[in-house]
Amino acid sequence: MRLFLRQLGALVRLSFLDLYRRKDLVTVGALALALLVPLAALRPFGVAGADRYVGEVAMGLIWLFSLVIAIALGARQFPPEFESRTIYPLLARPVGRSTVLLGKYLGAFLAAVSATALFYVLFAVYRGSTGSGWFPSVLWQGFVLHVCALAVAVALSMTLSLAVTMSANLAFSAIAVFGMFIWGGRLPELAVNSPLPAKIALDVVYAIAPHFEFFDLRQRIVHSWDCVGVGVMLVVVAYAVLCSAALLSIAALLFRKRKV
Amino acid sequence: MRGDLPVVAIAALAASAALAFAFERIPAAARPRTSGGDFLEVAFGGAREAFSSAMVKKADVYFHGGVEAEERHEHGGRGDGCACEDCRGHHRHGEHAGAEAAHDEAEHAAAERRAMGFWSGPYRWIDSRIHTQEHRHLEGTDSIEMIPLLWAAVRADRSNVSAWSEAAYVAAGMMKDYDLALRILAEGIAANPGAAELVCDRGHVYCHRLHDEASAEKEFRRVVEMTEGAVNEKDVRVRIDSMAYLANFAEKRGDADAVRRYAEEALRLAPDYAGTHGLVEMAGKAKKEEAK
Repeated sequence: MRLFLRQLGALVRLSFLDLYRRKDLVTVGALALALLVPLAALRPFGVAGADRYVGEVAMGLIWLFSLVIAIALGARQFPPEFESRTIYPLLARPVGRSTVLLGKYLGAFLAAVSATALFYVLFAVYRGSTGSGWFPSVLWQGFVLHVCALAVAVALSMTLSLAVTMSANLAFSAIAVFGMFIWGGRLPELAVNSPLPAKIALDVVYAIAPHFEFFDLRQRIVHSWDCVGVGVMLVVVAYAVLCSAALLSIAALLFRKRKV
Repeated sequence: MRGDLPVVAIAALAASAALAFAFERIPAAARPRTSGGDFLEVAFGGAREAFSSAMVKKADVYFHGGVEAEERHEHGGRGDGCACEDCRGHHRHGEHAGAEAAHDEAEHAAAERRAMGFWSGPYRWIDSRIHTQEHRHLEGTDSIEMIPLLWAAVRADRSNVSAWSEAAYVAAGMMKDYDLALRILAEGIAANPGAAELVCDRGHVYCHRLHDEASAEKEFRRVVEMTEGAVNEKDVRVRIDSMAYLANFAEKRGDADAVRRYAEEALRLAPDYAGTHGLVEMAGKAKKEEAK
């Protein structure tokens, strides 16, 4: 058990190093600041005091950047290892394939979570400084569900990285994640107004695709709505765990079948 | 080839300078007809209008606590805005008139979904609880949250009169910041000198908010002048509304003839308009007062 945890820890550390060495965070942080600082400094019609629009843009950027980071981290865990053949010494350690998969998954997931946590802290500092409360309960809930979304996004891109090429993976993952995030909740209405083959396809997508829109509490955070009920939170967290587990099971199957 | 590059570059520069010089010489009447605005207006004219309308809609979403119109009225069958008392105040231009039933149906649908059990549709159950669809409005000073969006709307398209009007309404009617409302209207009128609607709005601010009837009367008289011979429905209505205010001021002065004249003109312009009915009623009352 200790060996397993040490192996897992080493793999997680590698993923962290990968994120922070590449300075992706610095890039997205600079981009976010370049967009948000002028917005926050605006005085529309010469009046100050409105901050929801900055909060909405900031939250949108946090979601965008964190999902991009999660997808990219998940997608680049295995392909470079296969290309540079460093997977051989890794598996010859000996480290089991499932340990490698789990370690890389946890590493990518926790690295994405750490970046997102940093974004949320900055967001809370901004909101707190404008008098909207530093860490309201709904922001904590939003963070928890955001972490759930990252868990599913990393699992999805990691699974696809074992099945298709890197560029195809990035494209498919982005379509699945952002497509469901934006239109997931509207698929039933779209299906109702579609001809039969499209209706069946949309119903199938609605039933099996990961529903990223379930993790989106931006509306509640930005417009200061009440918290979500504990029961609902538990259901959504359970959904994320099930989704991630299902995707990782497929990934394990693909990794086991893969000749290295 | 590398040695030829400066020659090619100089030739290209000379050609573009010659073209620019030649273009300057073309008489203005023979040049392509553009709106003549700034670069953004020329390059993104249509996009700016679309962006402006989107910002006005976004302000409406903010007014309703971030809930989209279609979510509010998803099962109401119309999705064209809401018709509760506060919303009628907010959408006072009548574009959402006749949607009272939609509001009730939406409330009913939202209540129905809240009551829906998990097993009758787990995804819908989660969705309806994560994304709120309840009905809520921004009130008082919180209404300032709509101002940046309306500002963006008028910055994107300065001819969007309803955005100027909406911004002034939010400032005066909701934030109670009358100076801000007058500043917005002054800017809007400067950008749209023919917009009688904005002048009428300024009259409202003077009359209802600042209780300055002399200034209000001046504004309403200006509206009547601006809409002389108006044929489109919007201008006719603005004219009748302004005449109703002028009639009211005339009635206070005991000038029954002026009230009668306004009522007659309103009857001629739009006999079915609610404002006309009010004017006719006022004329009848003034006549009775005079008879006494």
